[in-house]
Amino acid sequence: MSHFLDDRRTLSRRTMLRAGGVSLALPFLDAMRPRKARAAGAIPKRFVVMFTPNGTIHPNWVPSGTETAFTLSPILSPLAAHQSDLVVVDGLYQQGGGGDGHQSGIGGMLTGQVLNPGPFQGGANNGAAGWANGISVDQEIAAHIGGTTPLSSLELGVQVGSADDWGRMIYGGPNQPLIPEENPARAYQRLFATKGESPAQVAFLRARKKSILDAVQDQLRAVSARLGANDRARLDQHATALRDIEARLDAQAMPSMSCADPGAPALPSSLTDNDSFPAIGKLQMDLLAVALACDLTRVASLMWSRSVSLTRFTWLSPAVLDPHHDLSHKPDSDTASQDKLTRINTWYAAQFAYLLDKLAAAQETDGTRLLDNTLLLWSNELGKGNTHSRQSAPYVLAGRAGGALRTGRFLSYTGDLPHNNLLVSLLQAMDVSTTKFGKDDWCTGPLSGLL
Amino acid sequence: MSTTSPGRPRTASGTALAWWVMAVGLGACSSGGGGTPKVDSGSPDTDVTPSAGPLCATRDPGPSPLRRLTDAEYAQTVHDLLGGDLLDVSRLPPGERALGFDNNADVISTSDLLVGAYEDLAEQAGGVVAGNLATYVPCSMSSPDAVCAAQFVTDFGGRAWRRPLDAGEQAALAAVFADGATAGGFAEGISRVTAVMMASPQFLYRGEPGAGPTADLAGAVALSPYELATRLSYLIWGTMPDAALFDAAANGRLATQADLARQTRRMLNDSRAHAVVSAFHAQWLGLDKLQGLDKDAVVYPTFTPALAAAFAQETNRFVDEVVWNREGTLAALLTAPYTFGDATLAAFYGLPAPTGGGFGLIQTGGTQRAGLLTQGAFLSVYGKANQSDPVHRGRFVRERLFCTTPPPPPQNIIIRPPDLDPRLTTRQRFDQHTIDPACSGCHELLDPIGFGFEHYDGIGRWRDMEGGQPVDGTGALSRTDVDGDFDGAVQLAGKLAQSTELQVCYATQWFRFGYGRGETDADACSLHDLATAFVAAKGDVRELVVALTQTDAFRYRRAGDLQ
Repeated sequence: MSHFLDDRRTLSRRTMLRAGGVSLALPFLDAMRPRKARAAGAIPKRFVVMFTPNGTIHPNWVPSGTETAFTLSPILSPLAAHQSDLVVVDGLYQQGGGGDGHQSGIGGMLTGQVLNPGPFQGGANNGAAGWANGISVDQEIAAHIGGTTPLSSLELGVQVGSADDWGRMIYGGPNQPLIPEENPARAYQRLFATKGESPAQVAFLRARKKSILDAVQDQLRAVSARLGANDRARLDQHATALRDIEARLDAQAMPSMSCADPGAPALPSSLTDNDSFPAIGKLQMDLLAVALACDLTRVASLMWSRSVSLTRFTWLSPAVLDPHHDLSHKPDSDTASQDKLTRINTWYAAQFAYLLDKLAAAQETDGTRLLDNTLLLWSNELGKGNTHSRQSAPYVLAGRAGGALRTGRFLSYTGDLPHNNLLVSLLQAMDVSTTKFGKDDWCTGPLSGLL
Repeated sequence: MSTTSPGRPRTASGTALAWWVMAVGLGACSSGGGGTPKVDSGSPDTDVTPSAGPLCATRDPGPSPLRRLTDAEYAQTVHDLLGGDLLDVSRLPPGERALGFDNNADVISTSDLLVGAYEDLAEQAGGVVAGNLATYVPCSMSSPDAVCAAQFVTDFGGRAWRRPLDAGEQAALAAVFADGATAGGFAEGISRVTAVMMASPQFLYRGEPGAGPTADLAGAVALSPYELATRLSYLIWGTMPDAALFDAAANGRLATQADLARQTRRMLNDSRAHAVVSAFHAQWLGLDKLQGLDKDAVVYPTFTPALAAAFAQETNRFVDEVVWNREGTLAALLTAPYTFGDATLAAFYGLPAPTGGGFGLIQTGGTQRAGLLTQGAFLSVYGKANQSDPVHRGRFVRERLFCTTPPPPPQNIIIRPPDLDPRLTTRQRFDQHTIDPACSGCHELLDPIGFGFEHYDGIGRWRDMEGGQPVDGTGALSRTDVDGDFDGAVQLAGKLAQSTELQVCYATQWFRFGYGRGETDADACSLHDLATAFVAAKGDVRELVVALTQTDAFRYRRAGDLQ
């Protein structure tokens, strides 16, 4: 086996194959490290979304002060060390439609679209609804910048639960929700896969996979030809996913200096136990950060629980024993509940801060921080939990997007500007040239003053 | 099966079933002003009002959206195909849930994560087959060649794709084998061709091109015998057809309603039917939520994962016993004075432990416990983390048992579950609903039913006292065909067991589960036939499954859906 290590080195990053299949990723280690620093211009941009549920307590969330001289709120206080990396955006109206308030909020949050008709029944005045009617902003970005990495995007979740409107926020297109991976061990397996295959074995497995994928594509075409338009559309989605998997067999990653295989995660004893929530979340954030650092993907998302989350924050001090959603419906006058909700949202802010810490600590080949080349969006399906209002939904941006975003700012908008405008600006910051996103009449262009 | 005898010409029904009328009847409570911000209960429970469309006027098979194997069907099919649990099916992501069920074809979606998992599992299957050639490809022992591979494709492919392969498919798979054999020998060829069969849409999906127009129903396409065999096997067994069913398809013995009924009765006598009936009831009752169900350990220290698992096992065994060994009826599911449990569960209920140790039959006496709605599984799923939940228990009865959707809360009010107060009973704390006129209009539809469960706390434990005061478990049913007062859930269940509307709703739930979709206006005749058969059979669950195979929705599909 003495020749093996040498061969592995010569393989370099090219052999980091998509792990979704037989998991062909080669060992990471030194073979994965770039031989020399690339020019600064070659550092890729990344995009990350983090979701937390059930609205916020706006008075305790909104900073005070001016655009460049502001004081963070109690809820955002855990982000103090990163204040210069943030843009806090207040005063936008989060568009959405169809189903109940939570449902339309989560469906429109990243798509800027309505929910289509469908059978998901909430407690709504508007009746039942289906999936969202458009692509989400992260997937639009992935379509532009995700083409060269082993995964075009990475969707992670923490105790998301049932596969329905309230548990899906990422969409590859109309009626195409993407599934978050909730098990850190599986996420790790998908990212880092098997190690130690010989180059010959890797080539053999890749050829096998290509052969299988090609033949299955042929069968999809043959079966589709005998079915009606609606059924064909379903199989087209399947075929698209297969093509995506096949195209990425040859993906080439450009890892940063801080890329290192973290090893298989040590899972908590139960993935479903309420009290495992923080531990699972930390593992997922660690994986998300290393996936970016290793350039396994350039677009990622993390979904904490789900819309109408019933998580109980037993680990806070003092413990919050009420289910989050029950608390979120307490009236403004209930100060004890407002305090609990403030502490819940503060805890989520601390998780966002942890993620920023990880990205700040990761060094690119040009010496910049991974965070400097990343754009993060932390958002919520609601503004206010007890009324389901989506006015002044809480948006926090972070990272400099390779210089496209000026950070250390607090922007306060008036007039219920649609959040679609924010989504347009995020696209522009990620070098996607557009002035519209989502439902056309909800979008009036980029968000003035952001970029 | 009085209404669906083979060949009987059907015309518009003159029988106005009360349930259609009733379905519209609840929409009357007020809601506040329009516009945002919107307010609602925020609960993701899924259920809809049955279509209040026309009575059976025009026969129509309704839509037949493309179905994909559910995770459970995939696992069982792979088990049957390979002869064991040989693949890591746990890596499939959870399937979509709508209307309570995991097989709704209208909301299936596809992503890289799912398709990647299918690909991996298909390659795993290839490895299993190639690693056991003597078992799976017997001819390879004497002549490992292309002829043997073609035989394997015919045999294995015919089962995996649930119909004989056509010449084009045979040729395509022969080419896959040949490429693999060139790259790595006979076993590699078999491995790849197996993987292709298992990753192809013919295996993963239930495409139904049909067998052409039928003289029985204009605008409809008859399903092919193999498509019907597949519908039967997944409806009744949740897995691929067996040899007898393939044989019936091959020999034209699935052509008539009588043929389908005969096969169904045969299949219902096979224990494979038990898993599907169990799955229906678990999903109908929402019992999948027991997995990982979260309770406040301070309020309910005795609620453990082990207790939740015992609850699930109890209800499962109970449904099995009622449907397969005893009364067989919906009424018995609601009222039977027995259940199953071990000594721990019996103690939880305050009942004598079953004889013989382990999990066994327990006589409940029928005073505190009788039927599904008095079991720990239902009561803890429909209980809050720290208290009982009369609103959602009442809503369950309206939505899942009567198939009616109560109107949502009015806008611009703040909904708040009352705080725990050690001096008051839950009922007293929820009285705000009936004091405040903004709430009372709708909550009068929910709370008087839900209060009937107040003798059971948030994990289903019996209580006579709460907050130092006696529990009041009286309640009332309104706007149903069994209206009236009752005292406690056992009496409530007794009234529910008399309800024709409830039988009709139960049949509608089976329609959704059995056909993998919500009902539409166009399904009025199929639903009418189904409900009428079930009522005529005095609520016999097995007869309802037979009736599911007799409808236009089951036997045909719309010609327009193939364009």
